[in-house]
Amino acid sequence: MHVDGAPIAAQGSVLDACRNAKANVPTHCKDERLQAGGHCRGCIVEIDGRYVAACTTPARDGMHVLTETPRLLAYREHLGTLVEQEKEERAARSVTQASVVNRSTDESHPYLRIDLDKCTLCRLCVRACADLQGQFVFAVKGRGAESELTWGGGAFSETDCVSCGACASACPTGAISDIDRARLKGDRALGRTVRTTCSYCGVGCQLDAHVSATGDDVVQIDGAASSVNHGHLCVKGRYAHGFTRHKDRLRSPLLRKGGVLTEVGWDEALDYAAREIGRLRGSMAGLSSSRCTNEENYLVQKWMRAGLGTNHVDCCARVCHAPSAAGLRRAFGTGAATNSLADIERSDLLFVAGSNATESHPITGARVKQAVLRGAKLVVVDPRRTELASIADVHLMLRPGTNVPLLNSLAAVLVLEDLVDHEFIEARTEGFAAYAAFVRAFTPEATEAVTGVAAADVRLAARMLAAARAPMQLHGLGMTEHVQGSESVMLLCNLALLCGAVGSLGVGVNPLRGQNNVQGAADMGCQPDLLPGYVPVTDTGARARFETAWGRPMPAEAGLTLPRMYEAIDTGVVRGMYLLGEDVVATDPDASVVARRLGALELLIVQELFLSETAKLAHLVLPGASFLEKDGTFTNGERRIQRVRKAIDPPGGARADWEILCDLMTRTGMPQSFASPAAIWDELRTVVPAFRGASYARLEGDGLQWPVPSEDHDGTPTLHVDQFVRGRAAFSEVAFRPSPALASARPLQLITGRVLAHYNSGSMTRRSANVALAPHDALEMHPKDALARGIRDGDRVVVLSDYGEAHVKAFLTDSVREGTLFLSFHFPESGTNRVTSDLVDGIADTPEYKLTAVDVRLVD
Amino acid sequence: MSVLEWTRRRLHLAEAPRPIDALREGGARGVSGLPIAWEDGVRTFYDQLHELQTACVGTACASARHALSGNGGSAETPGIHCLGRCYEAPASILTRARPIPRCSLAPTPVVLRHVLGPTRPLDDYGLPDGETILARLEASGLRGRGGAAYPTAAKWRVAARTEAPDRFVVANGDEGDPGSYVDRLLLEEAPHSVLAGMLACARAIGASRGIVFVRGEYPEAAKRVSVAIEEATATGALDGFAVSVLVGAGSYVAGEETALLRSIEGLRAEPSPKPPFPAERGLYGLPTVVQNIETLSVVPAIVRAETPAGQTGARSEGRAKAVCVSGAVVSPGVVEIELGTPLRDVLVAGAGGAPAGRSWKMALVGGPMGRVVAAHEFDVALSYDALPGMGHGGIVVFDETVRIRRLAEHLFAFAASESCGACTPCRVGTAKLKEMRTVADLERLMETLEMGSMCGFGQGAPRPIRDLVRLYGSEVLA
Repeated sequence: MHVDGAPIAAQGSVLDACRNAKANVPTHCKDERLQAGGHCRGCIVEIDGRYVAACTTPARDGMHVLTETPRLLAYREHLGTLVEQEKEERAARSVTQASVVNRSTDESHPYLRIDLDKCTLCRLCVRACADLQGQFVFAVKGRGAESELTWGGGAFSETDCVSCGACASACPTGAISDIDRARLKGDRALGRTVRTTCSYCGVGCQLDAHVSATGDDVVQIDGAASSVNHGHLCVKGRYAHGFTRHKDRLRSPLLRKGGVLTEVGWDEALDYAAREIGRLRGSMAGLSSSRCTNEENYLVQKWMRAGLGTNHVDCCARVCHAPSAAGLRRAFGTGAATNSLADIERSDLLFVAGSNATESHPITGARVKQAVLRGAKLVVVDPRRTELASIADVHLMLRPGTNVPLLNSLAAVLVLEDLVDHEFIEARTEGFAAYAAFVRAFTPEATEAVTGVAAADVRLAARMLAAARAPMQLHGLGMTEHVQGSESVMLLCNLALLCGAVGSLGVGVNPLRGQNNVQGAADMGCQPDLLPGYVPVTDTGARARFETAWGRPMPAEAGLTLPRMYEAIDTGVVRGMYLLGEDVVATDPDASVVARRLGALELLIVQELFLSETAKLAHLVLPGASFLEKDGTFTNGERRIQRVRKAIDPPGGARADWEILCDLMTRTGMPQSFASPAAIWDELRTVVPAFRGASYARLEGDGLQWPVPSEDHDGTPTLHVDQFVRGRAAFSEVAFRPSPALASARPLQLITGRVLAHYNSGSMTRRSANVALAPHDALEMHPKDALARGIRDGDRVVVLSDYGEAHVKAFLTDSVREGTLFLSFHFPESGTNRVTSDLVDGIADTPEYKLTAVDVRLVD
Repeated sequence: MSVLEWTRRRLHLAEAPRPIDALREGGARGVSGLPIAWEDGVRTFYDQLHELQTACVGTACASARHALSGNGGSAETPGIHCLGRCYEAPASILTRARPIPRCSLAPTPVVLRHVLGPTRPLDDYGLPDGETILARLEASGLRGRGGAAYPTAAKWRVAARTEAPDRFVVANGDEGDPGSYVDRLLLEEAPHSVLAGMLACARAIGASRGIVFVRGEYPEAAKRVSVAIEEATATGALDGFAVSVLVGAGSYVAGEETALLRSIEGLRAEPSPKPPFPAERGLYGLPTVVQNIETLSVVPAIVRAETPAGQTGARSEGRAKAVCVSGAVVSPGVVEIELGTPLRDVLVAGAGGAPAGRSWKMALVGGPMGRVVAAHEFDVALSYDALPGMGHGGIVVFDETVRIRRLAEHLFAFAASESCGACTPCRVGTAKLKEMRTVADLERLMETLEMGSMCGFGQGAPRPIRDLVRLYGSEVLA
C-alpha cells in the first residue's frame, strides 16, 4: 500500500500504516490500550476517493492513502473549530445552570477531578473504565448535541469507582485528571521520569515515576506499557506513593539510651550494632523483608548464614505463601507459579480459590474480570461473595476451614464421573490409581454437610473444569493460611493434574503472591531450610558450593521458622533479632505474645521506613529506603525478575538498605565491598544457575521469568512443559483434619484479609490520601448474626477470641456467610492480630489467619 | 458488550437482559441491572423511555400542519418522528390508524402480492435448499430496500462463509424514514412473507435464530408479527428456526445496522465502525444478516420461482419496489412499481396526481437522508442508479406553498434531534446546520458532516439540503 505516495507494508490499521510512514494524521480518541473507537473522527484520511477514519480501517494491500490534501486540511481545521465551539457552549450552559447545581466540576474524590467543560465526549474514559477495569462508572447520557458524560449524578466519590485512574490516564483533555497533576506547578513541575516496579502486591506492575523538577520528590505515577500491567494501575500503585516523603519517615538512626530511642549518627549506630551482634553471635536470628530487593534479601541470608553462622533466617513468605511453595514443590518439584499472568487471556476457565483478587491484586483481578466478561468461565471458591464471586459461573461459598473436603470433592467428581485426562495422567504423573481409590469417598454429597456447599454446585464446577480447554487456577491466602494450607495447595495441584492442566499455556497452579518481592525473598534463600535457588541447606554438596563462594562455613541443619524463632526467645536460644522492614507486632498473629517475646530480647535491631509498632520495641532502629529510593530487582508472582530503579534520594540520613547491610556485614567480620546492587546481583548469578542469564542488561524491558540458565536463554514463562521438575508429578492423598478452631465453643469464624485501598499494616497507604477512600476499619458481619446479638450497622463491637480482643464498628452485609466474619488487618490499632490464633500450617508453619473462632459482643 | 455480560452475571441470568425492555416497564432507577450511569445513558437515549409525545412531526405531518409553508407551527416542533401514517397526515397516537391505501403499477405485484387480494401466505414457507436460494437471489439482482441498496446475495454469502458456531438473521423493522410505511404494511398484513424471507436467509447462511426488530412506533406491527410467529411455529413452517420479536424505543439511528444490533441488545443505539460488518461479526459476535422488511418479504417470491437458466424472469422480481407517496397528491398510499419507473408516473398513475387547484413544487424522495427533486425533474427514473439516495422510497410531495427555508429547518431539526452523538462531526455539526448564515458556511459544514461522520446518518443528512441549495440557492437561508 501507499501513504502519500510512499510504499509501506499493510499491517494493522490504516492509522498504523500512516504512523509507520511518518505521515501526520491527528488523533484525539486513540489509546493504545483500547480498541479504536472511531469517535472523534480526527484521523479521517482519503483512500481511493473515499474518506474513512484511519484508526478503524484495516490496512490492505493496494490502498492509496492520502493524508494531507487541501480538503483534508480544511476538514481538520473545521472539525477543530466545532470541537472548540462545543466546549464553549457546554461551559456557557453550565454557568447558566450553576445557580441550580453546578454539575460541570466535581472534586469530591481524593485523587480524581472532573471538569465536564473540558470534555469532548471522546469516550476514552467510558471505555477505559469498562474495558480496562471493568467497573462501568462512566457512560454517555442524552443524545446528539445534548450528550454528556455522566457517572450517574451525585458526588463522584459516591460512585462504584475503584480509583484505578484509568479514566484520567486515558483522558486527552483534562476533563478527568489526577488531582496531583493539577498541582504540578512551581517546584512540583515535572522533571525526569524513571521506569520502576511497584512495591505493593506481587503483581509487579511497571510504573513511570515522574520526579519533580527539583529532583527531591516523585510527584506523579503512571502505568507503563508492560506485559504485566499494560499501562494499567490500581489505587495503591498509581496514587499511594506519598508515604515516601511523609513527615513520619525516619531520617536518622535511633538508639535506645536510658530507655528512650534517641537520634544518633550512623557510626555510633553501626558500632553499637556490630558490638552487640558480635556479643550475641550464635544466638542471632534474622527476618528479611519481601518489601526489599532481591539483592538485599540475598545479603541478609548470606550474612546470617556465612557471617553469623546461623540458618535462623526467614521472611514474610512464612506468613503467606510458604504453603504454596511447599505444596507445589511436593507435587511438581518447584514451589512457584507454573504459568504467566498473560495466560489469563489464554485460559477459558479461571478457577479462583481463596483470593479476593480485585482488591488484593487489583490488576490481576481486573484482568480476570475482563477475561470473564469476554467469555471465559469463572469458578470461585471463597467463603465471601467477593467481586469476582459475584460474577462467577459457580461460587462455591464454603465454610472457612473446609478447603480440604471441598477440593477433594471436586476431585472425586472428576474421578467418579471419569472426567479426568487419562493420557496426561498416564504420561506425566505417578500414584494415580491409589489416589483415585482414596479420593472416591469424598463425594460432594458426603462433604456437603461439612463444607456447606450444595453438592450440585460442586458437581457443576467439576464438570466445567473438566470441559474447559484451558482451565487456569489462581489462588490466594484463603488456601494457604490454614492448618492444612500446604496440603490444600497439593489438592489444587491434584485438580490441575486430573485435568491435564499443567505445563502448557493458559493453565497451571498459580499462587497470587501477596507482596512485591515475596517470591524473590524466598528465591534468595531467606528461608531457614533453603539456600538461594531452593537448595536445601542439608545438601552437603550444594552447601559446599556456597561455602566456597562465600568463603565461610555454614551450619548444616535447617534453622528456625519465624514462629519457632519467637518460641526460641522464651528458651534463650534466640537472644537477638535483626528485622528488616517488617512490622511483626502489627502483622503476626497472636500479636500480644509476639510483642512480649520481642520485648524480652537482649538485642532487637529494626531496619525501617517508619517508627513501627515493632520498631518502638527495638534497641536500634536504622532508617532504610523506600522502593523509589534505591536500585535493585523485585521478582513478581509469575517469577518475573524486574528492575527497581532509584528515582529520588532517601530523605535525611536514611540510606539504601543494601548499603546498610554491607556496612554491617563488614563491621561484623564479613567484608562486603559491593559498589552497587548490580554487583550483588552478579554475585548471586554465579551461585544460582536459575538466574545465571538474567543480567541487569537483559532485564531491561519486560524483565525475565526464571529459570534463566544462560545469557542466550529467554526465560521460562511456563514451568513443567516437557517434564516436571521432579520427573513425574505426584498426586497427594490428603485427609481432612479440621482446625481446632472449628471445634471451639466460640460460635463465629473470623477471616482476615485485605481491602482495596489499603495494604498490610497500613504503614504506607494510611500515610496517603487512600485514607479518605477507606477511613476506618469495619467488621463484616451477616445481618442474622448481628440480629442475634442486638447489633446494628455501625455499632461498636468487640471481637473476642481465646487470644485477645479487637474493637471495631460492625458493617452488616450478606456478602459473608452466616456465622462468618471478615476484618482487615490494615488497622493494627483495632487489634485484628491480637485476636488471631497461634495455630499454624502443619508443613510450612504459616499461621491460620483465615480462621479464628470468635464471638462478637455489642459495646455499650 | 461487556457491560451486558457483567449485568447478566450480576443478575445470575442465563441470557443477557435487554435494558430497553426493563426501562420501558418503568420502575425505580437500577431496574435494568445495568450500572447506574449506563442505565441513565440508555434511558435518555430513547424518546419513548423518557418523554411522552403524541403528535407525529414527520415530514408529511409537519407539512399537513402547514409548518413547512409558514402558515402553521414551527418546523422544529418536538414530537414523534413518523408514525408511518403519512397517508392520513397529520397523525397522532391519540387517533386510530386507517388502513394503508395500496396499489400496484406492475401487472403482477411482488412486494404487495399478499396485500392486494386473497392469497395463501403460508405458501411462502415452501422454500428450496440454501444453495438454490442463494443462486436464485443472485440471479434476481435483488438489492437491499432499506436504503443502502447493497446486493442481498453477496451479504448472505459473506455471513455463510464466515466461520462461526451459529449465525443470526435480523429483520430490520425500524422503518424510521418519515414518509415511509411500506414496512409497517408488510409487518401488519403480510408478516409471513417477512418470516419466510428470514427462513430463506437462515437456510442460506446456516442460522438457528432470528429476530424481528420492530420500531416502538409500530406497536400493532409487533403484535401481528408475534401472532404470525406463533402460527408458523405451530404449523412447523419455521422448520426449527427460532424467531423472536424485539421492540425499539424511539431512535432514528437505531435503523442503521450496527446501531440496530446495540438496540437489540437494549443499549444505546450508537453505530460502530465498519468493518467489521455485521455479516462478519454482528450480534453477540456472530455473523448476522440485517435485512430490511421489504427486502425479506420479496425473497420468497424470488427464490420460489423456478426460472430456467438464461432467462430473466426472476430478475424482474428483483426489481420490484414499493414506494410510499404522501403529501400533495390525490391518493396517497403504497405503490408498487418496477425500479426505473419515472417519478411522475408514480405520482400520476399511482397517486392520482396533484389535488385540484394545487401545483407541485418538489418532492422529497427517500426521507431526511434522501433527495429533493424539483417538479421540473419529475421525469427522473426511480432507481438506485438514476436517483442515488432515493433510499427506502418514501415520497413526500410539496405544492407551491412550501417555503424552502422552512423545509430546510425541518430537515436540520430532524438531523439535530436524531443524531446519536457518538461521533464528533455529526453530534456537533447537525446542531449547527440551522445556525449557518451563508451558503458557503453551510456547504463547508455539510462537507465536514459528509467526510467525517461515522455512519450514513451524518454522511447523508446533507444530501437533501445539497439539493435545496442546488435548486434554490440562498433560499435555504431565509
